[in-house]
Amino acid sequence: MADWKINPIKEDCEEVSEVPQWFPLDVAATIYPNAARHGWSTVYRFAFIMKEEVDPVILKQALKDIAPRFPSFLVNIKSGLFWYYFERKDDLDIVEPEDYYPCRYIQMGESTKPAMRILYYKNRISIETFHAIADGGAALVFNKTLVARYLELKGVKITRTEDIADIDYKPRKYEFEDSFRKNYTKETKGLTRKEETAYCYKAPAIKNYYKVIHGLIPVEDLKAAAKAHSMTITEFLMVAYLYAFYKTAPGKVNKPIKISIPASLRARYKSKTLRNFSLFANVGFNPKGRTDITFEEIFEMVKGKMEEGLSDDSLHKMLCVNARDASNPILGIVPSFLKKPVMQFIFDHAGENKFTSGMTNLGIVKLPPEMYEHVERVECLLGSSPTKKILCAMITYNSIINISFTSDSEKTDVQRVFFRVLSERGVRVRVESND
Amino acid sequence: MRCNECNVDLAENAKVCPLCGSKASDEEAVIKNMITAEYPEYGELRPLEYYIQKNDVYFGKWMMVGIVALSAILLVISAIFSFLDTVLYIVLPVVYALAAIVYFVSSLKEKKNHARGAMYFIMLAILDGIIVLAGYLTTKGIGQGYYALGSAVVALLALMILGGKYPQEIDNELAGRFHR
Repeated sequence: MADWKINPIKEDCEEVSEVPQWFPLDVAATIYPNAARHGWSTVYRFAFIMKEEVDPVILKQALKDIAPRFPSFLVNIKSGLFWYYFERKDDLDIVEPEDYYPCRYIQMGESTKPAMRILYYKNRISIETFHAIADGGAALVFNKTLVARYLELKGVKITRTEDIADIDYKPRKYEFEDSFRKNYTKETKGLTRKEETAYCYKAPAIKNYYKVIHGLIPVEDLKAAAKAHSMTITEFLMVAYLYAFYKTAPGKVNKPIKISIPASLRARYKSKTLRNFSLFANVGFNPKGRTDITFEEIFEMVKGKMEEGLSDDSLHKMLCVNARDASNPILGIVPSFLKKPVMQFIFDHAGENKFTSGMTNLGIVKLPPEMYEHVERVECLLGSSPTKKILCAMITYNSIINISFTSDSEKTDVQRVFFRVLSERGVRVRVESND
Repeated sequence: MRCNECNVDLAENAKVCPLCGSKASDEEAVIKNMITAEYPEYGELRPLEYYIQKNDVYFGKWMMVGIVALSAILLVISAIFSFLDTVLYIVLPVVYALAAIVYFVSSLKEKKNHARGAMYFIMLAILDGIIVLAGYLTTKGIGQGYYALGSAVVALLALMILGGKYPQEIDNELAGRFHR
């Protein structure tokens, strides 16, 4: 998903002269405050493992220094009469020591603080963001810039490359853009949300608990294993994940096991927005009660489905469905308090139940050359979901792919099968956990 | 450290495998030069209230909810005991006017509350407007609506004063709330 460059693009760098105090949510963000409920909101985390212990004073200063460059990140959500909207927050007291499970609840609305937090513990800097603010691809720019500034303040000279934002520049208009609305075309043919309900993985949840299991894998090993099966790395990992759900199912499965694979739309639409601009495809297979399906057979069943689901045509259709629904004039005149329960129901019953779990790949993290000497590892974690008991995120840095499973349950059967499938195919794996 | 059951490397300090719970074996890791990124020791599981920022809960929303609930209760009781007109045309407008004054004073007292009551002045004026309309429809004159009219004037006047005193803040608040 880290597929676009943030630094000045000379022919298109209109600066924002005055950043508005409030601005509307983008199309994808609309669902998050509506789906949020008491004690739960969609939060994800990026973490940078530094080679030295983190200095919180410098980290706070780094945040202050980059804040004017990223006004769309330092916001919280307020409820308007008809829709939610973002309101800028100037209270930057969001840097705190990490002393609890990752991706905990971020308060919306009645807060003086932005809907994000920055945590530090020993060598780890973690940035947790409410998903309505930005998707992972955009947040990664903010996070890389924060870490770059932190290192600069520690005396490291960082070359200004296009991988981080230049904080000497003002924000650009295109960074605020709602690219969904911009690229929406009023096509009506073939626009549908109809999809078969997916197999639901069940595990007993523990309140306020969040288990993380990281699997660190050399990219060369994965490449070799995927190549041996004539698959790409993403396909190989997706098939392993589907296989893990299939093997751990308590009985015969008659519903499709599907994984939601998000894809950034920035490269396809040449967008440089720093807000949400990604969609997803649900890819999987239906075992139809069979219990003897092999890893290779699953690949044969899902072959081509990912390309099809993530094709330009499919994603454009989905973009149009989302933008069309968000722009519905009837929905526009229904007060927020009436809309929220309806959208929450849609989120639970027409979105979340269409896939078994999510697997997001943030791609390769590139940093200015001097930062490699100071950053050991990069991690990405997905926050809990009311219906999904396990989620997976992966990110590649310095030839190591970091696959992180998060779950509000102590059960680890899926993770165990997943990593065993990999190691049985000659992939070296290092497993770490927070529990 | 290694887990021989899962055939994976483990963190240097791992006692058991996080995947299968087997005892970690003191073998050399297969992937070299990796450091363990430690997580803190977590204490007791915290209640949800721990995460909720208490210092910025604005009373205005709850007062408005209370006013609407009180209005509904008073209307039902007065309708049962046949003193609806007194409640509708006198008691409720007085309650609304008092509420507007409370919002106004709170707006002046604290910087962070300067604009937060803006929407509630409008809501109070709308409630008063409904009473005036009800009075007009039943008597074909303004007769019964004087208190409500006065109360609406109080709410709107308060909003105008605040708008003059803190124009940018009030404008921002209303622009956001009404998506102007």
